[in-house]
Amino acid sequence: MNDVRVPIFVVNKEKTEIRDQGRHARSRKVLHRTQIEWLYDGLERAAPQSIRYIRYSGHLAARFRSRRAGKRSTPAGATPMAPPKKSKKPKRKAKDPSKLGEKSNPHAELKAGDTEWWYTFWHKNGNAAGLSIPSDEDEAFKYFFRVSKKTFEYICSLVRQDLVSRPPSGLINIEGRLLSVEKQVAIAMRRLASGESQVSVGAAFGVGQSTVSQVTWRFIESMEERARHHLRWPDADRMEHTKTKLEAAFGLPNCCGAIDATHIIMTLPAVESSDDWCDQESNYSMFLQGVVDQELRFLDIVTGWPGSMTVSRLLKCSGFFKLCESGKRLNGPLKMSAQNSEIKEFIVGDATYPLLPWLMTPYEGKNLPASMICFNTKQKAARLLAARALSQLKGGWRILHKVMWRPDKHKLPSIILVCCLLHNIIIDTGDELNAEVALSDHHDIGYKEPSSQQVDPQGKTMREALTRHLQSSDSLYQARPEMIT
Amino acid sequence: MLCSISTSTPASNSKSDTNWLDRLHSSRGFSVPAHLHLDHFLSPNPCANPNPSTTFPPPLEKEASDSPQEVSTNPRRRKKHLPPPLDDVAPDEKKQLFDLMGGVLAELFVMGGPPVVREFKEKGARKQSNPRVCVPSVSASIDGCRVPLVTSPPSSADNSVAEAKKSRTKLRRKRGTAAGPVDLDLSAYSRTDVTVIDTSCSGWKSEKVIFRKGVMWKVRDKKVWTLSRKKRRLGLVGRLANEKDKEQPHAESKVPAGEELLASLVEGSAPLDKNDAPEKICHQISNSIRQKISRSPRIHSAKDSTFHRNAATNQKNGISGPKASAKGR
Repeated sequence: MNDVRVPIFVVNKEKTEIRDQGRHARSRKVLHRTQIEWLYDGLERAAPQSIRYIRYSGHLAARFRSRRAGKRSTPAGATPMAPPKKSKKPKRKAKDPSKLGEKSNPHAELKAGDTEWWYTFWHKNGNAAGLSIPSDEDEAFKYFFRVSKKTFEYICSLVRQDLVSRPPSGLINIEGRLLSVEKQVAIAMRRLASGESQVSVGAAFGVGQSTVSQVTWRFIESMEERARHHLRWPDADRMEHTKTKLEAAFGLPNCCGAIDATHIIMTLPAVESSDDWCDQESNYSMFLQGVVDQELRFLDIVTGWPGSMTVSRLLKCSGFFKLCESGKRLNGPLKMSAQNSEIKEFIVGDATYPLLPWLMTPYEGKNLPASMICFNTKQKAARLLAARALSQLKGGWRILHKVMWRPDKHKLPSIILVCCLLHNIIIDTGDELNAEVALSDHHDIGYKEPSSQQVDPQGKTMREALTRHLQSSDSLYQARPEMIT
Repeated sequence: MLCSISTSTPASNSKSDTNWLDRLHSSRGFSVPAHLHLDHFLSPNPCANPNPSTTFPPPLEKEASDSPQEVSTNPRRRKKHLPPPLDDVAPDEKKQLFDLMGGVLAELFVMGGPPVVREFKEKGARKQSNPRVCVPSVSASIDGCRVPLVTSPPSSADNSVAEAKKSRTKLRRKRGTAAGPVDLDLSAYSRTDVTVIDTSCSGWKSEKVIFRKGVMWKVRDKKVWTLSRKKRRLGLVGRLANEKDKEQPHAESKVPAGEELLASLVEGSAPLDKNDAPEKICHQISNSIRQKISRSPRIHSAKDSTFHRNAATNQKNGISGPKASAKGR
């Protein structure tokens, strides 16, 4: 690449050219913008000294300029760039503060990546009729994407290596420009968060439906791999912390979390509709089961099973069940109850789950003794963590709540998983889960599954021990839900 | 045409002016009349025969007269008739020769043909690495369970692409079934393939098959058999990693295919010099035979690439063709 001729990049609105300098100017080539950006990238890497002169104009100019400004490692011999013509970038910058009403520095947080998309998006969608979009920029960002800008940036960093566009196969929007990773992530997250149609989301970003489809799936595939560390069963230390918090809040010693399941409803093509997907409410649905901790973080999920199963069967099909039954999970240190009974690690679930040594379900029946009512009250408070988490999940990532139109049943589990990962990322990065977006109703409204009649003798013994423990320590522990986030 | 199979047959070395086919014949110990041209094997239509005055009657004359239109228009079908019914005329030796060549040509141009071809077919790694022929008992022996059986298509469907495709799908579906106890009869069960993500399982993602009859549920792990499905399920990250690996040239991996082709061509003959003969034979066949046979474009391109590549390899190795080899000697 040493013999690369010094090119002139002429970046203007109508066309993008690359020319040899001076007397070679006749050998100019008019290239597509994507091609020139690609060429620029290659030259910049291989022979940065060859890029000496860029004549700016038009809307690509800003991007080139900012990239050059960010890479001042140009050799000393390089002649300074030509003074840029006034481009649209300053105009856009100038437009923003006026629109934002003197908000906080709009470029402070997103300076590392592409910010253009956000201001274009906000300008276009910020005043959408019928929506209560916050006027504050950061709040508006969270409204659209459920995460703060900082978290958004983190998510971009996770998937950047997979989503970075590589011409000529890179994704191109309707203006013929490459989609930045930020814009791709934004499109995908908006699709997941709003659950709106691909056409609507595409219109909001100025891209086509197929781009939304493609970008969203790429994002999901990437997140599946790159964000795995946000969903895992806690190690001993972390689990100890969880148990302490849960005991403090609900008085249940050695409680490790709560389990619940929900239906993700969809439509299926009439041709291949299988009754196996048709659940008790005559919806086609897929199950999602999650175990959550005190912060509503998913510790374990299983999804992909048809909604026509019973919850109890779903549990038994899960890897979590197999691990627990084989003693490889929830096998931490025992605790002694007030009556010196052993209390193993357990989770709590509703009556649709079987009563097992590691899964505590409520007492059923009428005219229960006070001790059992006391147990039920605290157990319910604890298990509602899972219900809240699922409400939050379905409310925050509305694609899961809306009836999905003929999804690929082999891809839907990935969508569900990524929504859970995003949910956990919000918690892990310290963003607050916005309670306003959570569903106001129950996450699985309309579904009333009969109670599981399965009672494991050891489970029964342990539930009784817990009941006695709660009864004796009733005066000491009060359910304090306010301690829970 | 110049000599091609030179190293293994000393006799042929001296006859640099003889046809490669003659050399092949002699290497296999067949004596063929000099006038018996390659077209005898290729064209069942006597009119197309450049040597109509042959004393040896065109083997397929009888059959060609039965269906002349088919022959002229449909190369696939014509190939099907290639193994000639020589009961009345041809001696055993010639019949053998026709069978052999019919098999070889059918193999080269994938025309469908006699059982011999089937044997060769398994060797060629042209596209499908997994043979599509699936005996119903195979799935049972692999999976150990009886599944809702799909009847295999009739053998007469050989010529029908659509039916062949259908059968492939069915077979694939059948082969994709999961393991289970031998005594379990799942034929009465409905069947659903599901992709499950379970963060308590290694790898998180797995494919299962659900057999359901009322409240009876049976879940089996699904085995993914075909490469294409596997590739699709690799995911974005896996694909990106794969792309990096794939940047290496393909040429080396395809050379053995050419060798297999050769092996099938000269099966039973004296061992050949692997570096020399395969390319020559393929190259010459490509020059002399291919022009005379019309084939489906799909097969054409696939084979072509092999031939061209082999030709290129020849040039690289300094063996530019028959002339060069003749000069060398």
